[in-house]
Amino acid sequence: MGLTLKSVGKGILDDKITDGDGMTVLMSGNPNVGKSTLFNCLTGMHQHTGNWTGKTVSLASGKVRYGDKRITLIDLPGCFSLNSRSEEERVARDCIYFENYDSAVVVCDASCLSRHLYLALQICQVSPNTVICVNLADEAKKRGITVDTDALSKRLKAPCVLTSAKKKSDCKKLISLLEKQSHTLEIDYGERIENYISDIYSLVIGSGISRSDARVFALRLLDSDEEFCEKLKSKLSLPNPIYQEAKSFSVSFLDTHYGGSVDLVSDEISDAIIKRANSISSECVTEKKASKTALSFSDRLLIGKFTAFPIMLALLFFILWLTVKGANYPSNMLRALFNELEAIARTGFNNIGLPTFISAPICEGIIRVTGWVVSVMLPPMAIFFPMFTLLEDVGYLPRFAFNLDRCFSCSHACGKQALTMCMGLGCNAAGVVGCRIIDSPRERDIALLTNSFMPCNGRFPMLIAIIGIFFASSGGATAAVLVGVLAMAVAVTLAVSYMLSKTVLRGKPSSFTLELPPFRMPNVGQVITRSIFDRTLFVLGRAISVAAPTGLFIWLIANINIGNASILSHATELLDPIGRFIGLDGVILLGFLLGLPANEIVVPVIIMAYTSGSALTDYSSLSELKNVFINNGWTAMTAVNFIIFTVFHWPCSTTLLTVKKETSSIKKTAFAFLLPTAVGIILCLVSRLIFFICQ
Amino acid sequence: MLTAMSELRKGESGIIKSIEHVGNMRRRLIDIGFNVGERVTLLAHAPLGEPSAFYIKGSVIALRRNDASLITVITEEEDGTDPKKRRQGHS
Ligand SMILES: Nc1nc2c(ncn2[C@@H]2O[C@H](COP(=O)(O)OP(=O)(O)OP(=O)(O)O)[C@@H](O)[C@H]2O)c(=O)[nH]1
Ligand SMILES: [Mg+2]
Repeated sequence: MGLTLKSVGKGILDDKITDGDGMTVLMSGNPNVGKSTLFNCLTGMHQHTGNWTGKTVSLASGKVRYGDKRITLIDLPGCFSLNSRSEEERVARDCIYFENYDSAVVVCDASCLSRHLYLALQICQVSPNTVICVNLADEAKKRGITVDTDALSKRLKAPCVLTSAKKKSDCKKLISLLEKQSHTLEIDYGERIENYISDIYSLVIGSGISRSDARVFALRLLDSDEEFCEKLKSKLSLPNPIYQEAKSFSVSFLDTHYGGSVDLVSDEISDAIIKRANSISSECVTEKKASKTALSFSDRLLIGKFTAFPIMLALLFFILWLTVKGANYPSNMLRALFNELEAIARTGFNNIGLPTFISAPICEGIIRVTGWVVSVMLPPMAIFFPMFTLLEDVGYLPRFAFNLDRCFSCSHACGKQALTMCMGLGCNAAGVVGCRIIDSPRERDIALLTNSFMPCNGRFPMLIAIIGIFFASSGGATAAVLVGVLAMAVAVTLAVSYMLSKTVLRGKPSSFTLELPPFRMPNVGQVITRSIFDRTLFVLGRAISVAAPTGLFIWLIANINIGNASILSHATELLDPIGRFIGLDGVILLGFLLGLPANEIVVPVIIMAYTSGSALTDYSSLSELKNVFINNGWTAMTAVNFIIFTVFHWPCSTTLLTVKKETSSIKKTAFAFLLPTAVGIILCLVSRLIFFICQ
Repeated sequence: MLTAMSELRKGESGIIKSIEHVGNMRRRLIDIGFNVGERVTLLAHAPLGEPSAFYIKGSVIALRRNDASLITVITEEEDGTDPKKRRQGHS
């Protein structure tokens, strides 16, 4: 459900399982089956959920109390299989193989059980204590599908429960099943592989390893990479000589029977599991109606040849229009509120006789900058995000990626980049982490480096304000210009992706799959309250942690003089030639530089620099702001270039840190800084040239 | 009749005969349900012609033309049209 406090900003950098007392339970399963929804229902937390594959990309943990049971739940990213080597599924896979946990819940989709049993069967073989949760029961019921959980339970030798994750009572049922048991499932892989497994077992039996662990080890020696096997070895504490012996045995087995082809052997392994999954599902699932294999009406519109793009633009326009329109009133109110607050504080400080060198920084520094951040940033975001989240919950985002994929394929990039760009709208750092859903390292790097082209939460309202001041008188016009700006951001992303593919990140587009989930009715009321609440907390948090201290800092440098001018004016003078060269000025450039920790403060810094020392003390409306800008030499070109530079400049420091963490490469981090900056400068110069020619 | 999965017409189904992909993508396809013997239906093409959405094992998966062309399916009807014409028919 949208972005939460933990999912954006610095919170997303934490990726550790916190070890508590009591049981530790993993929530595993295919993507988009409702793991996070169940997790939220059980823990009362607000992990982000969304109707598309790859919403959760890192671990989250929460605590549940049930009777006298204390349980630590871990929400895993979705994965399709335990044996794949894809980077995307690695986090979940490693957790299931290597973490210490007491029980693993495998969440399955009741409507396509056989596909989901494939993973469930794999996990049942690895983890001695598995609980099968057949979720989305309500959806299956609508489709006329019933699942016999008792039969399923017998066949899988694990407790099974049917749930609809949105129902609290169902979630409780799941918790009551979490008892300790310990038996793993065995699947017959056919004579040849079974003989091989017995041979390996007799090799390693001396080291005291259990039969089920030995089976897992034997199978993974055949089809997994070196790094994984090494980890398995240390997990099972196998002595090196035995490990090496087993390894060379498996290599020679692979060579003699499969001509050394890992694909062949892993096909045979998967085949056995698929057969079992299909037979179980045919036994336990009854379908009353034949499954519908035609597109739904909404899909025919949303991905239809002639309707897809008009609807996409109309939706975007509508959301932006509502945002601009709806934000106007609360924005003005908040601004008035903060102006009043400033006045009250000023008189209050005067009355108690506080000297101006203390009261002025508080009033003109802290309160004013915080006031700007809250009044300009909060209302649009509190309107935009609930609507965006609704689209996400309905399942529109994968359709959006589907429609645009051709463009990405022409840029030699991955179609899932469209999804990471959508995440970037909320927070570029979250977008960068979201790039984990892209499997090819080359395409992931492209998505990661270009993510900051999407104007995030901190920049979006800035665009709204400047467009409103300079280019549009009505909400509709502002929204239209915004659609244009976003279209430009997408176009530049595509162009830069193409250029990267032709130069530093050379390569052909790789293969990938994109799931189009069924449309789901979101819980509108809950989404709206939840995401308004989250946005408010987020913006207020930023206001307190960043805006207030920077406000103080800026006031200080604007009012402490060195020689005959303030530090601020020295700095802006220094930057002025560069700023003017790209059609901005020194003050604007300084604003963006100081905005490195958080873009929200760029405009207040600029205003403070323009108005320091002048008579104007406060601004109560945006039109007064326009005068401030125009008096300081802003032209239409300055405003255009300001918009360009807002979209294309260095990412904020949190995003850079996240890039560093995700790529573990200083070089790529530096590149992530330089690339958007260079793009911004070039575009600003182009715009300056165009204005020059037109005049 | 044997055809590449990418050559299916809108609404047409086929039974998967073989998968020519190798390595990671092969595993991914098998993992998400593109298994030999499974029925697959082409639901729609994206507005720009690519990728295409396929119905497989209860879910809808989109694949680019290149990727879909490496999966061979057996279609039920024997209509004798050659693959080139079939492609024009649905694009
Ligand atoms: N109708 C219905 N919808 C559900 C149910 N459980 C989850 N959903 C919806 O399914 C979508 C996916 O839920 P998530 O919890 O994000 O799925 P996930 O398994 O965490 O997905 P990933 O993080 O991508 O692996 C959301 O839109 C949920 O609202 C259910 O029991 N019934
Ligand atoms: Mg999730």
